[in-house]
Amino acid sequence: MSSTRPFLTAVALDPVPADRALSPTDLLSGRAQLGLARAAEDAGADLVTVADALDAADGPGVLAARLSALELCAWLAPLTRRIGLVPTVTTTHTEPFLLGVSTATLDHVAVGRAGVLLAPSLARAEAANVGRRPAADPPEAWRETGEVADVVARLWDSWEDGAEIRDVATGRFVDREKLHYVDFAGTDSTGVPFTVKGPSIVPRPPQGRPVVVVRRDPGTDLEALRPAVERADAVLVPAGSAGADAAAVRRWCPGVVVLASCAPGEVPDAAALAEIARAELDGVHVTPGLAAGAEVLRRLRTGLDAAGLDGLRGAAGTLRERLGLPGAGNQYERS
Amino acid sequence: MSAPQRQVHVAAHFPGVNNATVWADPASGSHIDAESFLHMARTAERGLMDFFFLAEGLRLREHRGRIHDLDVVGRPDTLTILAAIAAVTEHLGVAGTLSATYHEPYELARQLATLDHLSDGRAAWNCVTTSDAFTGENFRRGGYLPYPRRYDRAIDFIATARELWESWPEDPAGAGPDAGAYEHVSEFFEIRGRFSVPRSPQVHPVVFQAGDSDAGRDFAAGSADVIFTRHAELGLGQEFYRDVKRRLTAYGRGEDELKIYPGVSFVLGETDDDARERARHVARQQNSGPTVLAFLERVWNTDLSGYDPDGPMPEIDPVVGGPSFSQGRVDHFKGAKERADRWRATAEAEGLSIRELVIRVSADHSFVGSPATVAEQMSAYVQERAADGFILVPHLTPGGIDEFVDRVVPELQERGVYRTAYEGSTLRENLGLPAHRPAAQWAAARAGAEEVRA
Repeated sequence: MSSTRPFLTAVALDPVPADRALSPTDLLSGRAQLGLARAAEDAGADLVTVADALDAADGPGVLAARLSALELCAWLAPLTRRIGLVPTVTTTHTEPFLLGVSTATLDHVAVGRAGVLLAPSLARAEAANVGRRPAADPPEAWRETGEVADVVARLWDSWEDGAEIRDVATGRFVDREKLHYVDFAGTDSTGVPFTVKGPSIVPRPPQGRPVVVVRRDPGTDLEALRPAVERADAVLVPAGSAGADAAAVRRWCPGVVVLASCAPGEVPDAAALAEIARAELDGVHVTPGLAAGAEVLRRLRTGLDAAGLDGLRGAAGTLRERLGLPGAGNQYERS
Repeated sequence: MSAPQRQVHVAAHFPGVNNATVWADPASGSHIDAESFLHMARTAERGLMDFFFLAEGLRLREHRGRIHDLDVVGRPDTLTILAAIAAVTEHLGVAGTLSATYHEPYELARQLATLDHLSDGRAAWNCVTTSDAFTGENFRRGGYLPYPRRYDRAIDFIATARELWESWPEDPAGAGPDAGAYEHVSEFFEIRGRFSVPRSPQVHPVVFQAGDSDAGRDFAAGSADVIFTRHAELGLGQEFYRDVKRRLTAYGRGEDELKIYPGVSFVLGETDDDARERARHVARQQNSGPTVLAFLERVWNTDLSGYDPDGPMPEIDPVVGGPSFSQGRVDHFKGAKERADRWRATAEAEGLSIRELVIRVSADHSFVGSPATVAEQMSAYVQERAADGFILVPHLTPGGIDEFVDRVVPELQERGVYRTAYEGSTLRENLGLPAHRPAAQWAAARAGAEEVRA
């Protein structure tokens, strides 16, 4: 089988159990993640993801650590050149305004290579760590994630392109007609109404809108994700249910990029890759572990070649362009 | 034999969103492109400075109910930029303002601990408070904190962060399933669980406090490592320095455990005369006609747009009471009528226009002179104990500190008062601060100081 459609590759910079052999310093200083990010970039992968949650992880020793994913990706930005950077950011307890400005800034420091994986905090432990409100029911948390995606898109749009004018004659730095109050009004996952005024403090990011990613974890109800999927640019679905999931999310959100996410440590061979492609998925998301990552990428290359898939192409451009997404529009721009 | 000279420390502040930042100059570059921040950080490191400093914005400023458009508008997220800078520097500290009012301890403590790991021990947090409902409109909880309680929450916030930062054992490799376990129950926070970031190289990132009030000074003495203060003439600076250092005793701290860094502006020239001429030019760039009228409107609290900025001062009196003309900035205009009378008297006596008067009262650069003169003056502030270091606030982006690094740093080094290489590997070490003080010691010292006061 042969295909000319590009087959996308996403690599998670997350530790797997085998990484307990790594030195804590390498894991905590970001050097282990940088090594895999560079290996992925050199191999021609399209983006990296970083998991996050507002709690320690389950692993033994230092594998229970979780660095803040957004800061890790910002640190990786000047140390990489082409690969997309997609940190997980939680939507339940984190302030939407802060989420909007930090992701916009990540796109500035990554010069158009940023995305954000929006994830609700469903665990009671996360709610107890933040201490502002109880844990939410999953359907409500996903509904709120959809709202947060809406607020964040409005904040990104709240500065039109060309808002900065530096008009010396009138002394004006910006044209305030091109800055917009977003005036969002919604209801959080515990039923409390909230508002966000805007505009953002951050001028429009290079991509206009960084790539919004949503992830379905195995065993969760796909239907609950719908409000978030409808506002997403890309969705990660479990490889095991990839075909059915892809059909569903494309009904809700035509044109969305769908990647088959393999279990941690699992590397799809040529047959598995061919099956993912036959199921009309746009690519694959792997979690190879930090130590074994470079070797896994070589095996992935062999598998893609054997399956006749055009992947690991190392294309240039913004992350939106690499994923084949259209340019971001602006809801506040008068045409 | 004379006592060894005290060393001058210098840091670099990215230009802010007020009229001190000149955007109309041909040399003014982007205020948002990453390259502007990375350039200034690399230059600061080339100049062996202590740290790069970035302020935080949580709402765009408004004037007369509309977005204030005369100054630089827009700025990046603090932590995101600092993490990127940490990637391209090796020794430079990365310091930023983050509000204790609109962040939450667990999230912010892990972001700062992450930054401390990624930078190998160079992170610092300028803990400020934000009390107005205006900023709260961008946050789910709105304006929730009464003004008098702002420091109470901030002190509790820092104490909580310190507990989280030290919640992991020293060796994370051998950590058990309860590593990072903590519980903090207080008036402001009720949180418990496991912290997600093992001890970072500094254990506690360096904590700054900015604010010169009596309460602010006690807050710094009881909770901070560095005070970011306003620049003042030498005598007042010495008084402030003595007062703050004296307060440390009550908290069981030595005078080297809290560093005093005024924010300072500077204008250099080939000669002192040349520098003064350049300073006049910069002051006019900083004060366009619309900008000086907006400045007076913040005191008069009424529309002055009909006045000629190059004409005489307004004869009408300020409007006292009523909603503030200006939102989203820290203003220091108390006693508007008295201030207006004083300014009008000065303008009349010296024949100053509105613009000249505003420049006189607001655009005073801290250090103006040849590189040698500025080096002498800065050293004098340190030798005579009015400062431990300075945070340079340049008026241009991104090249505003280039000339200082190229010309003043060598002058300071020649005088034997400036490092020729970084001494330590962490920011704490380069600031001359002791190793972190455990959270329990901070808490006990604050309790003891309160008992003495009561």
